Amino acid sequence: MYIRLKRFAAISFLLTILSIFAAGCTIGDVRELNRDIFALDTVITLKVFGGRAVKKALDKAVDRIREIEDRMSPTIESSDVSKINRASGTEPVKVHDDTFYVIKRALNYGELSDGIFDITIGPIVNLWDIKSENAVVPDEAEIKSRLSLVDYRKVRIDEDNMTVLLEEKGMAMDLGAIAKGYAADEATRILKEAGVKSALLNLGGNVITIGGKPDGSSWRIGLQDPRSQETGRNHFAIVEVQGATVVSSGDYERFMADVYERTGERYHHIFDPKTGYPAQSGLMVSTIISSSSIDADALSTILFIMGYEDGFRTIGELGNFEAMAVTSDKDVYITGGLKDGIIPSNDLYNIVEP
Amino acid sequence: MRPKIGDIFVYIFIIVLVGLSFLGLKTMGNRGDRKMVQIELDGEIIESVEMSETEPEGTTREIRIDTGDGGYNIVRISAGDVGITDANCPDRLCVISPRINTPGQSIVCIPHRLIVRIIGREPEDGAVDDTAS
Repeated sequence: MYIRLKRFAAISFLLTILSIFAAGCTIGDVRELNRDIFALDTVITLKVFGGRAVKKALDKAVDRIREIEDRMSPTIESSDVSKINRASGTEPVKVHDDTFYVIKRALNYGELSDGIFDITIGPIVNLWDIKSENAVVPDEAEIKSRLSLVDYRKVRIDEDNMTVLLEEKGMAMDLGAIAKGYAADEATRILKEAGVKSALLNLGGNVITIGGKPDGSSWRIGLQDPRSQETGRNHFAIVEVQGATVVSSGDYERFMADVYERTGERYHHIFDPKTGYPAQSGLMVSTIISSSSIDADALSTILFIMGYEDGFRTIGELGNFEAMAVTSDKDVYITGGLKDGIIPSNDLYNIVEP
Repeated sequence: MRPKIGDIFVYIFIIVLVGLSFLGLKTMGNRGDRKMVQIELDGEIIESVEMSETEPEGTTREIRIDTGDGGYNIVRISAGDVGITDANCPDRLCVISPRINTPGQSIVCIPHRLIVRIIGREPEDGAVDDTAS
C-alpha cells in the first residue's frame, strides 16, 4: 500500500509538472516577437503576438517586404521601376504583377486627384535630392524645365502584356508615396493568413494594426507632433484603433537639414507636381485612418498637398476614410467619424469640431 | 501517520504556487523604473546603457558608433535624455532630430542603419503603443 502511494505521489508530481509546462505553453502562445529591418528606404518594425507559427509568418512577411523593395525601389538597379526609368521614351518594360498593380492604383489616384498625386515626380525628386549631403535649393528655371517631364497621363500601361512605358525620354517614376502602403498591406495579409490575431507594424511611420492588443483592448497610437522640436511634446493627439492603419504625411519627416539649420526654412520631401516645390498648402501634417494601407498612403499625400478644404472634400467623396489635417496655426481638422475616436493629449493643438 | 493522497496534492499545490509566484516576482520585478538606452546597428543590439536618474545633474556620456565604411554617429546620453550630436551621414536628419526622453521613443539614422531607442516602463498617462509619423 505504501509503495503504491509513493508511486501515485510520483505520478501526480510528474503530472503536475507536465501541466505547468502545458500551461507555460499556453502562456507562450501570446508571446511577443519583434523585428526591426531597414527596407524601402526607411526603418520597419514588426511586433507580432501569437504562438509558434508566428516566427515563420514573420520571416515570410519580412521576405515579402524585401521582395517589394527589390521590385519597386528606384535606387535598386535591377528593380522594375529602374528598368522603366531607363527605358523612358524608348520601349515598354515587362514588370511583375505587384509592380503593375501598384502603378495602376497610383495612376487611379492621379486621376482622382487631378494630378496632385503623380508618380512621375521622379525628375523633381532627383533634382532636389534632399537626402544628399549639402543639398541646395535648385534653380527655378531648372525646376520649370524638369516639370515638363512630370505627367502621370504619359504613363502607358498594357494590361495584356503587363508592360509599362514612360512616353518621354527623361521621365522618371517614383513609387515612394505608395509602395510602403502596399508593402504594409502585403505584410498584413501574410500575417493574417498565418492566423495572427494581434500585431503592430510600423513602416517608416505608417502604423498598421492587426486586431487589438492581445488582451483585446485597442491600440493607442500617438500622432507625431510636427513641431516636437519646438514644443517639446511628442504627439498632437492620440487615436485608439483596432485593425486599422494610421498614415501621416508631414513636412517634418525629411527635409534639407543643412538649409534648415542655417535659415529655419523647411524644404521637405513632399513635392507639389504643379509647382515643383515642396507642397505649401498650409498643413504641417495630414493623417488618414483606414483599413487599407495603400489607400491611406496615397490619400495622406493627396491631403497634404491639396490642403484641408480640397483634401477633405476629395476624401469625403470617397467615403470609408477618416482624416485629420493639422494647419500651421495648430488647428486640427477631423472628419466626422473621428469625433469620438480622437483623444486630445496636447493643449497646444486645438481640435476643431467637424 | 501516513500522509493521505489529498494531503500530498495540497503540498504539491502549495509548492508549485510558491514557485510560480517567485518566478512571477522575478520577471515582473525586473520591469522597474530604470530606463535603458539601446543602440541597434543593422538589426543587432550593440550597446545597452542605463540612464540612471541618480547621476549628478549634467553628467553625460558620449558614445561613438562606427557604422562601417567610415561612417559614425555620436550618441550623447545624459540622465534625462538621449540625442545624436554628430554624424557623417548624408542627410544628417538624426542630428537635428529632437532629443528623446521617454521609453518607446527612438531616433533613427536610416543611411547608417542605426536605431537609438529608450526602453523601460512607459509612463502611465499618455502612454502610446506606437507613433504614426
